[in-house]
Formats: sequence, structure tokens, C-alpha cells
Amino acid sequence: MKSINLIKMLGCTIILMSSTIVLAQEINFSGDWSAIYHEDAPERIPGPPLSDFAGLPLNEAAIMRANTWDPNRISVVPEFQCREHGGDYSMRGLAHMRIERVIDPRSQQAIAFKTRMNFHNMERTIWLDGRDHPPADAPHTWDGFSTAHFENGMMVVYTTHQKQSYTRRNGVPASSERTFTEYWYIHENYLTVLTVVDDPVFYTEPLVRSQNWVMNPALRITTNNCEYVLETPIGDDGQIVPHYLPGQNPFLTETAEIYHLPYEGMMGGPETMYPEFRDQLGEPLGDSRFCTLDCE
Amino acid sequence: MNKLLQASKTILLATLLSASQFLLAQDNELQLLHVQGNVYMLSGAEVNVTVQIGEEGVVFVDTPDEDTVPAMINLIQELTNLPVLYVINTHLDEAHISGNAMLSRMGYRLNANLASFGPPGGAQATAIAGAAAGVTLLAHENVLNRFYLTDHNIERLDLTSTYFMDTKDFYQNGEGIVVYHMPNAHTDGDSIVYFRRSDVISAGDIFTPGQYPDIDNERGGSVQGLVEALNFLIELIVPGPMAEAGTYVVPGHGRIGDEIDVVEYRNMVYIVMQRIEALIDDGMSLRQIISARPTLDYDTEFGGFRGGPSSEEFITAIHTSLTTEM
Repeated sequence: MKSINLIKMLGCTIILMSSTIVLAQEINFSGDWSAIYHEDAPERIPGPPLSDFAGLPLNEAAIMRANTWDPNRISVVPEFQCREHGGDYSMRGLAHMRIERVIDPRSQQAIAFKTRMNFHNMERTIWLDGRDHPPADAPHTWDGFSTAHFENGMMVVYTTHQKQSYTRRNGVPASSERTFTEYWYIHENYLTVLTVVDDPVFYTEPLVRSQNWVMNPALRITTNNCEYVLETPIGDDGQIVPHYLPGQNPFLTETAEIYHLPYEGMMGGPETMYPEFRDQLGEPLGDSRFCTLDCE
Repeated sequence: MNKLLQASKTILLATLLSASQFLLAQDNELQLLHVQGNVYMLSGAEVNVTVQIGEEGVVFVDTPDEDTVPAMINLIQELTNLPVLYVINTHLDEAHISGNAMLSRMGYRLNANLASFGPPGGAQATAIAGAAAGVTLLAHENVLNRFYLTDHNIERLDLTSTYFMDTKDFYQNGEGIVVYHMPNAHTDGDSIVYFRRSDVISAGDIFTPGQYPDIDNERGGSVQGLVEALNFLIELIVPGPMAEAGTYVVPGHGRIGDEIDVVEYRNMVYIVMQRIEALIDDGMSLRQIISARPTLDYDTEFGGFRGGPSSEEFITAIHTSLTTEM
């Protein structure tokens, strides 16, 4: 145990020292990048099943918010129809990405990267010129406000001022108070971004995820128009914001039943992020040989 | 496996420490934030103050305490020295009106010597002071009624004009300004102010992101009226592409918002209202409802922050609204 602590201390010291000693070396991420979805593919592309919150460090407020969420809300409340992903989630969704480097014409120094995603014209600016983040009471945006510097062969990006959004597209919230740090690095023709999201409103500890892209000069980023449409008359039943009263969501056990998984594991929480949680889970609810959905 | 896990944790800890250098500075100091067009928001005081600056002068929505007024004027003087023209109060809360007297005496020149005006005098409405200086101090008539007819501990109310219809409009600094009465929301005298060319709405305490709404049942406020007011606000707002920007909203407290921010806030009020309504229908008392924690999932975002109501106060105000005949 002592040797593990020693390794931990040594690791911390080396990384902290190297972060101050190594000279910042700028990396050019410009180009067209196709997203690779081998990590968390079911969650990112078809979308997550209802009531699957496993592997997320959610506090009890987030779990209750997710348990009372009704998916009808994203169509019945018209203002939600055209919203972008949050800046952190945008790196995981339909994430084909074009990156352009912004050069200051006078100094010929890079002052920013601009990224554009395929979904909903999502654009981020990542400032490299050392500017401050806006005041706390300034407006928040979907993508937030990002600044970056180079460190240990990586671009380290810090983002604040995002709007309230979602951690997972099945009602798991993400607050406007969250911030995230990204570590961008290129290896051969691959780009990897490690994302650490800290949400003091809904998480008990940071959520760490990674995403990957491959350089694709043939990629074409398109444009995307969205006009919201009132599809459901509001007010017939007085329900202008669809939601379930606590304890009345009939779909909470659906995913656990489909996959024969213990319900407690599907409700998320920090313990579900770690392998040790398997020991607490006990036996599956049924025979997984009879799986009927996304079984491969 | 254990070592691998510990090593991963160590790297994560190190990267988090490294990232901490980015921590935002705490900015509680007074700042004049440009919202858009002619409109600015004074941030860092006890309340947000909306400031419209144009070729004719300065229009305020709400006023900070008198200790803050000189610093606010210093910030505005970096942009203009033109006189104060209008002060519109969104409701009767001391924190939102206490600078009226000082600003009402600044109608001729914004850069006049504040000390030369002397201390505010009298414990009654000083309509003449503002009128003599050419400043209009406006609020809904119910603000005046509540000041004279109901109990409160507000020392003085400086108004020169009230309105009693649903709206009042006027043209100042090159744009139409429309004042809408929002009945029975935070109080029964709430106004929101729409700067049409700048496309900014000053919402007062109808919209307070980051804290629960202060529903003042004693002064005619109700949760039902608040939801109606928020729905009206959402109708008035036109969002920009992809549900972002467009019309901006200056809240009574908290950060500048746009439509989706108001929608999320309305959703919170509406959902909590429906939960409490269901618990009342189940026969629960107020004490039992508070114990059931119907705001549990919103408390980490709204409960008691920035001096706003606690979850218990919010639940109690909703319960009162739902069980009292209006």
C-alpha cells in the first residue's frame, strides 16, 4: 500500500513539474476529421435507452431529475427543438469536425482554433491568445467560452459559460455551472480528446471520457437549418412541460429488464463508474441468452 | 488491475491539479456589461440594474442602493455624460428602488456633484424632486398602492408617474420602450420592460436564474401568475438561430439570459408547482409536503443561492398560492 502511495506521489510530482518545465509547443489541428464511434457507440449514435444512467457520477438531484424526465418534452416544448448540443456533448454526438486555425495577420501567430460540427451548425472558438473568460453574469452559450494553451505535446482547453443541457440524451441533466477541461493530442493521423467535465450541481466527482477522430481530407461539413414547429397543441391537459411525478415514471425498469441487468446499476452514481461495482451487482435479473435488443 | 486503476486515478488527479490554474477569478465587483444595442446591465450590486444609453440621455430599470449609485455613475460616465431621463421600477422591493431618490436629482447632468444634492429627506413620496429635474420615475400603480396601503418596512418611495393599464409605451433614445404589467407574479405590481430596437427585455424578479423565485404572496404574488408571466416572456422573446441569443433578458438577479434560459426556469417553476399540487390533492399538509422534498432535484441549482429563497420558502409560497383564493 505504501509503495502505491509513493507511486501516486511520484506520478503527481513528475506531471506537475513537467507541466511547468516543458516549453509550450504549438500544434496545428487544422483539417477535416471524421469521428470514430467505437467508444460508447450505442449511447452516442442511435441514442441511449431510457433510464440507463450507468457509469455517470450523478448526485441524487441529477438522478431525480432524470427519473422524472419525459422524452415528450423535447418535441412538445418547441423551444427545445432546434437547440444544439452543449460544448462538451458536441464532442461526442454527430461529431465529424472541421478545424480551422485563426491567424493574426500582423504577428502571424495562431490566436484561435475554430471548430465546426455536422450537427446544427455547432461552432466553437478556442482562444489561444491568453484572453480572460467573461464575467460570471455574461450570457451563456451552447458551446461556452474556451481558452487553451499547449502543454506536454497536448492542447489543454478550459471551457466555461455553457448553457444548461444534457449529460446523456435520456434526461440526465448538465448544468450551466459545469466546466470542462480537454486534452487534445494527435498520434499519427488520429486525434484524441480526453474530456474532464466538472458539474458542481449534478456530479459528485468529475466525469472523464475520451473521443477519437481520424484525418479525412474528403470530409465535407454541410449546413443545417432548423425551424421549430408546434407539433402538439399545448394546454389540452394543462401539461405545458411534460414530466413524470416522482415515482410515477413507468419506464424506469425497462432497460434493466431488456438487458437482464440489476436495476440499481442502471440508476448511475459514482460507484457505477468503477470495476469494483460489479461485485456489488449480484446476479443478472434473467437469462441474457434471451436478449432481444442491441445484443451484439 | 489494481495498480492500473490507481495509476489512472493518479494521472487524473494530476491533470485536474494542472487544470486548476484556469480557475475563474471571482468577480463580485461592480461591472457594466454590454447586453446588446443601447442596453447594458450593471452587475455586482445587490440587484441587477438595466441601463439604456442613447443620444438623449439615460434610462434605468431599477436602481441600486445609494452607496452603489456613485460607483455606478462612474461606470456610466465612461460612456456618456447625458442626463438621467427615466427610472422604471419593476416592483416594490427596497433593493430595487432605493437608489431612486439619488437618481431623481440627476436629471440635468449625469456628472453633477452628488454631494451637492444633500441627503434624501422626508419619509414620503418625493414626486417633486424627480419632476423638477426632468426625471420620470415610473412604476405600475399597484407599487404605489402597496406602498401606501399595506405593511412594509420601506422608508420612502420616489415616483413621479404610474400606469394602470396592461402596458405603457414611450420612445426614447431612438427606440420604442414598452412596459408590460405582469399581474400576480412576484407581486401584483410587476413590470417587464422591452427595449424594442436593442431587443432586450428587463424582467425584474420574474426571472432570477440560479435562485428560486421570490413569490411574495403578501403583496399579491402567486405561482400561477408567475408561470403566466414567464410564458408571456417566452412568447415575447424571439430566439436566434439554433435557439441561442436573439432577444436577451436581463434578470432581477443572476446572469443575462436568452429564451432557452427562461424556458428552463419556467419548466422548473411549472414542474415543482405540479408536484406540490399533486401532494395537496393527496391530502398532505404543508409540513408533510416539505418533508417529501418535491424540490430535491432543483435544490443544488436554485436553493438559497445569491440570497434567494430556500427550498422551504419556495415550497411554502407555492403551497400558499395553491390553497388561497385569489
